[in-house]
Amino acid sequence: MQKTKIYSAKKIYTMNPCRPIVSHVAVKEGKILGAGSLEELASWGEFDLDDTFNEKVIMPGFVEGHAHTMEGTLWRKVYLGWFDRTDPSGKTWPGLKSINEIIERLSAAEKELSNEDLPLSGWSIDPIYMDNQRISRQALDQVSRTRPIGVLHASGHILNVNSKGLELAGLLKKGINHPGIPIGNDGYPTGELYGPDAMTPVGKHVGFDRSMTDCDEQGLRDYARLCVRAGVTTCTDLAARLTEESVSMMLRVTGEANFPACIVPLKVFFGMSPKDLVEFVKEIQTLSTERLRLGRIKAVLDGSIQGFSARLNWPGYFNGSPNGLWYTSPEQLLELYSLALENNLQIHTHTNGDQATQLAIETLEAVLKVHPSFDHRFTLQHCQLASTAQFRKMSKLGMCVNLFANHHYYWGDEHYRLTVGPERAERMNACRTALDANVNMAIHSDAPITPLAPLFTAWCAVNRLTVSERVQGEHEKISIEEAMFAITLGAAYTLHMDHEIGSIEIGKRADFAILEDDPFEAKPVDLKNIAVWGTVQSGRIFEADNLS
Amino acid sequence: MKETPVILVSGYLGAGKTTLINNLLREPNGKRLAILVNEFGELAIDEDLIEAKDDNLISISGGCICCSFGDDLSGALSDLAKFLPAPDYILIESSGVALPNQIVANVGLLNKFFMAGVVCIVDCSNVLQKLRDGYVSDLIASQIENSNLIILNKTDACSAQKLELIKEQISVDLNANLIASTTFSNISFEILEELQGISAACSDTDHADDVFDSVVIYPSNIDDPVNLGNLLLNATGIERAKGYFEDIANNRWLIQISSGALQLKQVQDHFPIGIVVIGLKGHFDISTVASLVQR
Repeated sequence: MQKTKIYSAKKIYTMNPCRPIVSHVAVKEGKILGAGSLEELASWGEFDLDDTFNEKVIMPGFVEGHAHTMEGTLWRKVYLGWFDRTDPSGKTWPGLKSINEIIERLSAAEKELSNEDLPLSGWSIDPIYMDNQRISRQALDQVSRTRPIGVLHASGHILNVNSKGLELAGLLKKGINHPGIPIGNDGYPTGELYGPDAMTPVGKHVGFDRSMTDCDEQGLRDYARLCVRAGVTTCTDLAARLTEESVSMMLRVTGEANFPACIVPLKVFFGMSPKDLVEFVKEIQTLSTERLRLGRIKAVLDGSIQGFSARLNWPGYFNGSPNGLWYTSPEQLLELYSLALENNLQIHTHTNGDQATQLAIETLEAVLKVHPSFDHRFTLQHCQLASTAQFRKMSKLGMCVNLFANHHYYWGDEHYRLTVGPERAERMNACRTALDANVNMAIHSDAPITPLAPLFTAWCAVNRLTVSERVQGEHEKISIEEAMFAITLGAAYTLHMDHEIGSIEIGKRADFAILEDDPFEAKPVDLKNIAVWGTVQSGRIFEADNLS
Repeated sequence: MKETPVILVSGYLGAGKTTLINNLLREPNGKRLAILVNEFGELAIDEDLIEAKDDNLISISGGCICCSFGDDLSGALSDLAKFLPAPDYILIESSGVALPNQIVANVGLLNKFFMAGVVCIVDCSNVLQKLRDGYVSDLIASQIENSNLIILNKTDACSAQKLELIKEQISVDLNANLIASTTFSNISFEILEELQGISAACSDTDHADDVFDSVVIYPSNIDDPVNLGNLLLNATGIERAKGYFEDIANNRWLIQISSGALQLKQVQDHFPIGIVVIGLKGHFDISTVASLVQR
């Protein structure tokens, strides 16, 4: 039998209200044997004392309730974002502040590519920080005229390609008439492609193919390294296609002895009937392991607010854009919710606009009357525009929410100015209102859309600053304690996993975030600067700077 | 290279799209159809017609195939482009929440295909209600407005008075003027084929409605088939016509008018009655053509 190990630390925040702060934690067989004083824990019998974390602050391992493992795969492409960002190996790529800098980084990467036919792909550009300057195909042609090049925007909804990329897709021609393909003065496409419809036919030629929403084998390993750097020990993969092949790949990779995180993939409801989907998910649920939790479904109701494809209640978009798109019909949602409750499966539903949120609420209320379910924890993901009344209703129905706190920082200014106007922009991602209405709440990064970093996400919810350093929604701020709860137990609860993770207490999995400083003692504005040393996952130690 | 015509079958959930697809697969009118459906789900193909089947493709005797495209229609079409020999027609059954103009734009990006027309199936049992529904009214209206042919389905589920209301709302408020009525999605492929005529004849413009007017008539009890044919052929402004009618002795006739020529022949099968008649806007005398049926 494994010997008990007792870790000492500067401070251990357990998130367990019975004994919130302790000095030691005992670990045995990957689980927490106890949290308390050395004297208390020593009474369990023989142990080794480990002082590795003597100068560190220990928290429960962070739980990211809405991210996508595809970020691991994206890091094999060229990072071109405005903000500094750290890759799985720990190298920080400085943010790029002009189109020239973007072209330079692409050119440098182009010279590294051996094979002439290989596409060159970049990701995470965002013209809104560069006075909305667009990157034309001619600009990308400066990098190469012969090699196909594609550059994905931070939102994931826009792709820029060079002339070769268009040519390979048969689109370097005049007379194209498509709402997602703007035409230049010369009559040819500009190289900018809006939305999946326009992106898909070209994407496969520039390194972004159909299945890019799923990670690949190396991508999954790389993604797990990002988790360690962020203090994350359990992470969702919120809209996986989850084919039989990808499930077996994920089982194999997460089963490797040094895989450092628990991954929770949700099978997306798309291109399958509700009945077939429920059958499939029930089937793969039985394959779950300690580090790969299967058996949950993600439904997508509408699009995005900045893409004007979210479904909004009256008065709609601030700039007068027509209402957005339904990706799932009310009838399909009803059928899916019914079947899921009947079969004890949990559903997370993407809603961005308040009309989509309303539909999810009304549908669940109707289904609960037929299939009473006292602890369903159906969760609305993003739910960015929800009103106070909607949060009250969600609370009554036992729904959870996972708000997109990071979005507020990166695109809050745009929402204020353009998409929804001042009043609704201030209530977007209304953490205060959600908690006051007693809705169980998590907050998320939606990585790779924004970086995986729960302490940064907490900073966003606590400070509500936008990129322009304006506080947007003073009254929706939450405290540091509430934010710390949201990134641990709050998120664990939305996954029905709060009995095994999210706090440091006897019997739970030994999952810790090891921090260099104390977030509870930090000034709110410094929260995001707290360094993460690494994690302990199922009792295994992973140091961010020393990953194999 | 010859481009394959694509017909989009649009309409909200439960309107009867899958039933139509099932009907067409049973009687493809000698054509080799490739049908793309979101998922196989309710698709009921008689087992004895199935030649081969895998996760995404069903081969049906007579040369028809049926594929599920899941979340990737462009990809499925690209795969289909490699299929030899090319099918005579590709039919896409869109998802109930899809906007037809988006799919039309997407098909327009792919070489090897051209859009022959958009059919929208309307469920008469609930369309008026859906057109007032806060969640989907704009979606249903958009599906109707962006189609070349409206098929009013399940007409047996509503009164004559309600049917008139539906027709009025669709033709006046939503500006759709080519309308056929049926039950159980009973529309022959001949009528859908005629859509190709609409699009091909007006390839210079985006909006068939701007150039053509059209009407569907349902002649039965016709005492003189040849006379009906000639009356149609000589109707003012007529461009094309195609479909079936029934004579006084309950015989079925196929009628086709194109390029000023009339083709008339008796057929054995009991194809559904209905003739699509298309003429140039401003010249075409719809009321005279419609009155032919009353005689």
